[in-house]
Amino acid sequence: MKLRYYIIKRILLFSLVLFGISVITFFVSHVIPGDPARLAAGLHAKPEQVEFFRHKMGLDKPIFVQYFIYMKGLLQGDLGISIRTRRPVIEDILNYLPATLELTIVSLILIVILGIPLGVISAVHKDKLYDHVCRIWSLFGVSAPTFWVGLMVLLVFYLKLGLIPSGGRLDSTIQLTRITGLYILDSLLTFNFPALVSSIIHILPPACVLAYSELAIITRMTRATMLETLSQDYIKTAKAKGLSERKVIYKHALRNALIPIVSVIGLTLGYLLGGSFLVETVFSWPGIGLYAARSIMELDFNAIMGVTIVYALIYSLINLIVDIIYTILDPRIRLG
Amino acid sequence: MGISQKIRNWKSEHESLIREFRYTLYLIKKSPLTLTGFILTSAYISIAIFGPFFVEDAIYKMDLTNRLQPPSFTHPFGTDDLGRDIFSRVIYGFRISLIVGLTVLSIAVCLGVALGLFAGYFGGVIGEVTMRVTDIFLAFPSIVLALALAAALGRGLISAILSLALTWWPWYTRLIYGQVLSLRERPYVEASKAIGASDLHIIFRHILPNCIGPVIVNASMDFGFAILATASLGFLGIGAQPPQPEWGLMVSIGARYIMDNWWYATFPGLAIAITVLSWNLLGDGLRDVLDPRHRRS
Amino acid sequence: MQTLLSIRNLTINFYTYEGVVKAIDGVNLDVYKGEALGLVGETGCGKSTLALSILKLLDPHAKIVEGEVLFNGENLLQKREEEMRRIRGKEIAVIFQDPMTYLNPVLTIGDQITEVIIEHEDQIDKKVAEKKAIEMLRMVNMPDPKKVLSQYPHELSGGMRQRIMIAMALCCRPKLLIADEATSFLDVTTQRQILELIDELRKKTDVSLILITHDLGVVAEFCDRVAVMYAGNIVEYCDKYALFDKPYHPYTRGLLKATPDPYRELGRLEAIPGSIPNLINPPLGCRFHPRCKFAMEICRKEKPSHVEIEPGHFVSCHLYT
Repeated sequence: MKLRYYIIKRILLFSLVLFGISVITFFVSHVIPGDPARLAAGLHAKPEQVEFFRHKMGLDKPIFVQYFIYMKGLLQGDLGISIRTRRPVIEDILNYLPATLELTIVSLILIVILGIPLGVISAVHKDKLYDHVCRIWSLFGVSAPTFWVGLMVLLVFYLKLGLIPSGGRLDSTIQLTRITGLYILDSLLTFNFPALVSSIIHILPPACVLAYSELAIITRMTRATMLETLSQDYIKTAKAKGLSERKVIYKHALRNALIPIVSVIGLTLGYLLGGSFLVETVFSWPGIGLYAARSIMELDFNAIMGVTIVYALIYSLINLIVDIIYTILDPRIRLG
Repeated sequence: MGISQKIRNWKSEHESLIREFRYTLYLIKKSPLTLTGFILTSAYISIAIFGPFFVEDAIYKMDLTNRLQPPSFTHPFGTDDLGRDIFSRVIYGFRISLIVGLTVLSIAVCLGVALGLFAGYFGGVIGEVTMRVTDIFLAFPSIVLALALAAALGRGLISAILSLALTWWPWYTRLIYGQVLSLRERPYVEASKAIGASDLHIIFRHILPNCIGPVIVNASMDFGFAILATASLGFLGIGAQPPQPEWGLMVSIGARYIMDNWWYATFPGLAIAITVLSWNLLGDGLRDVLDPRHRRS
Repeated sequence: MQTLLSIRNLTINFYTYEGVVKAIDGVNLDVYKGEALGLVGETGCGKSTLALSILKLLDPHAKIVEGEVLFNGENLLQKREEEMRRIRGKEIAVIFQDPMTYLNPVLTIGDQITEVIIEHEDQIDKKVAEKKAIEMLRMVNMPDPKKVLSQYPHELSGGMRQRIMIAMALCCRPKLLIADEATSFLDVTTQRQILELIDELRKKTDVSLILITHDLGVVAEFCDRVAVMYAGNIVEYCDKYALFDKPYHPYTRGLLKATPDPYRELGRLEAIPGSIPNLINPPLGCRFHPRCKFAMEICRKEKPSHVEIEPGHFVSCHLYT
């Protein structure tokens, strides 16, 4: 009973946040810039084009009407036209979104597979050499600029060692039917083995770089919650029962420690989305990050705003799902 | 009363504070990583303040005959596409990053803390509304919002700083808000009110000092992230503009030449990495040390 | 009377920032087969530390400096961790004081009981273990044991949770049971129920019991012999009747005087002046001497030794050496 009530409340809050997002993006695109029409039309637009946008955005009308026009457009999926590609922004985004999703998901999997065990071992060997080395290593990942790490990886593994491709998602010689846009999935669905291998080889370097940039979050969090959990009384009981060390750590401690980690995974996903910009640029990965980066370099304002809204949407959705999963996982909340 | 007497009085009055401080220093000493962070950040600040004086002339001096030279004795980091010494430019970049970090943080922290204090203290509708607005800002991945703002404000280091500051204040508001909510119920607040202290006085004299701790810890880690974010903006072309010797910008130009000139992108990026790492080590270590559960083992 | 557990000259130090805490200072204690030994003392006197040290479950910054703990003839302090694990839960079991925090919130009751059985009895089937668990729950008077197996700790009341702790402790038929303030977190009525349950089970299964408490009333009802502890030392050690009839140590006398007695005349309760010492710099000689009415010159200098003032009655006081 309680669970249902909580979920409904959360979804309502979500809608409120969505509304708020639209207000802020409206503000950023219409109110802050000196001449929004000019920005929307592009730096090299001719006066008539600027006038067209001025009229379309209703810039001579009062603010509320402008917002109304804006919202109407948003709800219809109209995010404007990209100056750079001359296509509707929404089309571009939907085109490039699967690539970013695939990259982010693979990175997340890498982070979870690597980060949680690293954190558990750090907690068990607290303050010993392993703990210190682990901390420096993962902190370095968070501190070093993702674009620089990517460049160094390319420098060493591509230029000097020739082990990885220079970028892109697939070898240009390979054909793949696009179903979902997630190449690994698509190659599995079409039993296309060469495509599977190629897409994995192409996705691993950028995914590793992206994962490395946020690994510390999960590792530290796991370490912290494990330490907290290991100091709990019920661990004393478990030890007093004569259980093996492995059972105590993994069955009794980790299961408790994992609960708060789930919410951090959601947070991490958000950071990964943000970091994807830079990684995609360096590895020429055709996702929204690269799209956004190119738009930024040319101040393609509609595209920038479109990407912002989509990112915010996805981010909020992720947070919503994580909140709900968290509630389901903790039996204390579930059973009231 | 002589000076020494005054000092002795102060010492005995603040005995527990001094003890806490000494214990903190002891814990910092015990943690080699925090100590390393402390040393490195001090080095960083020294270089940022004093370094540029030694290299000021070299940063804009072009020498087209000496383009893209690998590291050597005269040019420890090599030269860039216009023949400028990369080492000097990286050194000057320390100062730029320090100024940027300080500015972004000051604005974000002051704005964020002030809003959190007032929203938490006065509560009610103002509080709720402020927190909802904060939540909405936090619904955006911060880089994304910063990018959009920077694009709206135009190119340049100043708009980058402004957009970062405007993206970051919500974290501090949320951080402070929860604490203020619980602090304002404390008996000494009620007592102050009973004596007739003004709200402003209570907020700044009683509440603020008690919740400033986490802010300091977060701010020291955020300092590094501010530099990282500015560098990212610089890399994407929105932040610093050529010929400013900003690290992110240098890496992005260096990326174009990386095929045959590995040094151009490597060293500025390394500078960013080590700087941010130092601040993270410090902030991370401080957080552990100040954690009340960690103390008094 | 056969001796089950024998503690000789146990000294334990805790190493902290402020200094070395000399928590346990040369303790000697025996537990006989089938008896209930009460371990009484104020909070902080070291009772729990003593109990946990038997199973080598102390914090990492504690060190056992000296002494031996003989269980069935073997010195537990010399055993490897591997061997200790086989003893914990099977030969010696503990019931802790706060069943809410000492039970794992995300595991079912059934899981937490069966895992002890599975750990200690080779090749046992999960179904068989569950049957045993239900049997144990019935033994501790749990209503509807089958349902309880699939429930979580927070769904049950304090008294029920403590019964589960008892069931967990006794399911492998240990020879020694340590109840560390097992009833401190329960209300008075439940306290009585739990203590009576422990008493009944003890007599049924012939397990020896160390009952740690700060409540002399509990000792009077449920123990055979008593050891009184103060600041890391055992000051008096005898059978229950002797303690209440003829207390020798000034501290014991003080404790008894400070306990309200419904059968005594109304009068002032006498408290023991002062407070327990800081164990980083404990008083020299007898640790009780700063608070003792009868303190002599020698008490400040020399630590009193254990003297058998009457058969089976030991005191640690210079008044009697």
